Amino acid sequence: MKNAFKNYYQGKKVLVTGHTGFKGSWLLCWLKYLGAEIIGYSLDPDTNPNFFTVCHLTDGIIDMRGDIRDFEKLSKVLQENQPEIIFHLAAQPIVRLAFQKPRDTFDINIMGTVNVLEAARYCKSVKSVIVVTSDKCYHDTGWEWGYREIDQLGGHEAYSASKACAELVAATYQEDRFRQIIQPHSEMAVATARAGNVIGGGDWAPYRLVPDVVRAISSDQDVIIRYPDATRPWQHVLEALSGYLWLGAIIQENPKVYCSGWNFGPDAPRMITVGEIVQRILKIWPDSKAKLVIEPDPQKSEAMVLHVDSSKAHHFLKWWPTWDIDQTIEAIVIWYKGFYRGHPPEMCQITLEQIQSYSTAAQAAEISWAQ
Amino acid sequence: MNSDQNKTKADSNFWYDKNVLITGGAGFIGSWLSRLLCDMGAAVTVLSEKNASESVLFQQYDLSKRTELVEGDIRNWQFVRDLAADGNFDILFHLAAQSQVTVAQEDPRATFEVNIAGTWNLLEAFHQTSPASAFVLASTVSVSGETTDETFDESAPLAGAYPYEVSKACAELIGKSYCRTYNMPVGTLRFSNLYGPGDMNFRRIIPGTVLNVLKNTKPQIRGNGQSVRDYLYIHDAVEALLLLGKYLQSGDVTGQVFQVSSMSCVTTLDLVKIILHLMQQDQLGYEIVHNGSAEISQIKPSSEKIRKQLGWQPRFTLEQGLQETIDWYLKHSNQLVLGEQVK
Repeated sequence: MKNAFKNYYQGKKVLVTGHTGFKGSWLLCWLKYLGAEIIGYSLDPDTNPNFFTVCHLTDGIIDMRGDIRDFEKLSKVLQENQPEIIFHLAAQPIVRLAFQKPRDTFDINIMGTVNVLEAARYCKSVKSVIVVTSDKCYHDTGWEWGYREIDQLGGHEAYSASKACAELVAATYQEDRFRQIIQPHSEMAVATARAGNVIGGGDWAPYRLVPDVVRAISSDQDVIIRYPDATRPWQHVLEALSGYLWLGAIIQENPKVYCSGWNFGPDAPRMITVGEIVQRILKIWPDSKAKLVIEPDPQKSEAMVLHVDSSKAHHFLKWWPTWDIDQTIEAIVIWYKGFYRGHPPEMCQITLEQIQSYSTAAQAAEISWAQ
Repeated sequence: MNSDQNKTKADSNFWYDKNVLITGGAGFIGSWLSRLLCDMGAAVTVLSEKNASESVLFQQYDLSKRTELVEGDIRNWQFVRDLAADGNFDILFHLAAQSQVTVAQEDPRATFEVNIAGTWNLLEAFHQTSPASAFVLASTVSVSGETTDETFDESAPLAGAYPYEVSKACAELIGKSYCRTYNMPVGTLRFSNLYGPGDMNFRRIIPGTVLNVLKNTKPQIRGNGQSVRDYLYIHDAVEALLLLGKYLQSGDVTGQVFQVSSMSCVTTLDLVKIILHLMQQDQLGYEIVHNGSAEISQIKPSSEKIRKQLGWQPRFTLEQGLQETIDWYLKHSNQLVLGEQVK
């Protein structure tokens, strides 16, 4: 499956922003496997432990450290390395941190996106930019249907607003009328990707369900959750990444259609609750002493249902999710168990095996990128 | 006239002694707003970019003496934070923006920074220091994109094609998030094309046409002249600002967006013809400069919402507004030609 994605990434110069983060690290592993030449631009990993360090991902890539807000530095990295495609993942990704640091969140998520697109515009080698935003970019009307790409953007809080703005900014660079005047580089293809709540091994970010559960289990503490009935569009990180990689591989084939926004979400049956996710993890991690404790938060009510409709990706990209929720949870538990049982040197291999088994499953399911 | 007088009197009472901050207060619309607020007895602080050329109006109405003029950059967080903390403002009119479309196309980053980062700096500064103050955000009807055949209202999806429009859409979304998260009284006005006495941006169609006629040269129409636009007289725009500020301060309409338009749209060609006629220079004619674009775009924004909910309505017809505007340019024709030469 090294030739998945039409073998597009073999020998391709790919720049990934935010490559030291959770999602960025998985993308790095996959791109390495596909044979890409990788340039990373990111801050240092911000959790301890972290996937990037555990799997020695700095090996074999051009590993640049810098702030996405530093336009000069970012431009220089682009000019010096001349990548052909950029995956822009660098972001302040935590909803709750955005309440504490709204200005930083806006700056990183909006101006960061502006910087990437502007730096790319002046770098002639760049043919395509895939901007990763979030399913939270949609104006949440509280309805029970999935949000479509044509629905209104907007957010109730800073994180959502920042992602909606990143979408709007990127849309300018998709517009023919603007592209015509942004010489010298009007043929640059730009698409945005809106994935749901990605989960997977190797995430240790704060305020996220799976890392919270894993931290509790690994230290024999109880798992405390506040919104057991909330549903989220959970999906394994590889599902979203397969969408990004596929979009990047074929965007040049039909820019008129592909230069737009894309939802990559799970199918509706995967809309399981926070409580169920925790129970399932605990079930297949039986030797843990942790148990689920529910402490309802009387103050705040979180939006109960929020998911995206991925019909557009199904139709035009022939993209579908591959793993069901059991396979997803199993992969996660295998990854973390391996780590906490003292096998960090093997984590790279475990990660690779998961990418391979995911790809094989996608091929069996006749999903287009895996053919 | 009678009801108008009553209304102005009531407004005067409301604005008397109010502590008001106007960003971009020395610009075209800012100068008119500052002047009116000063006349009504408000304490006006004007924030202006360093070395920005003050508008002719700002000088003409002696506003540098009548207002507290502060120079600074809204991209500078510490400056904005200190200004908000020290000012104790009741109301903010956020009008400052990088609004030159050509600049926005050449340097999108600077435009995004001034218009988006400037707005979040102000919102966060007010959130930290005076979260109950009314926050009036000036935006444009173009945040909803360009080629609509039908009249559209505030619910049209955000779809700007160019950096300026998109920067404004972003500023609106960030404003909304502050309103939803912190209950801040933020309200937005989306203006159609503003014109009126004192507009010295001669790249705009109305000032440009008048200047051409004054110089006895044929006005130029770019494109094909068939684009339909809505033109709003500056005094009607200022009245909408005052009205929204007042409503926001009393807690109503928080988080609302209102389009402000005359709802009497014309083609560029007809607009030029009207100006020629009002200046009694029909025989001068005009020149159509094709720019290769066959596209006919229409922007027909509805202002039903602000008319119904806030009782706003334009007081000037297009002809009346243009007549006032032309009279002003005629009166200042020496300055105009001089100003143009200096440029």
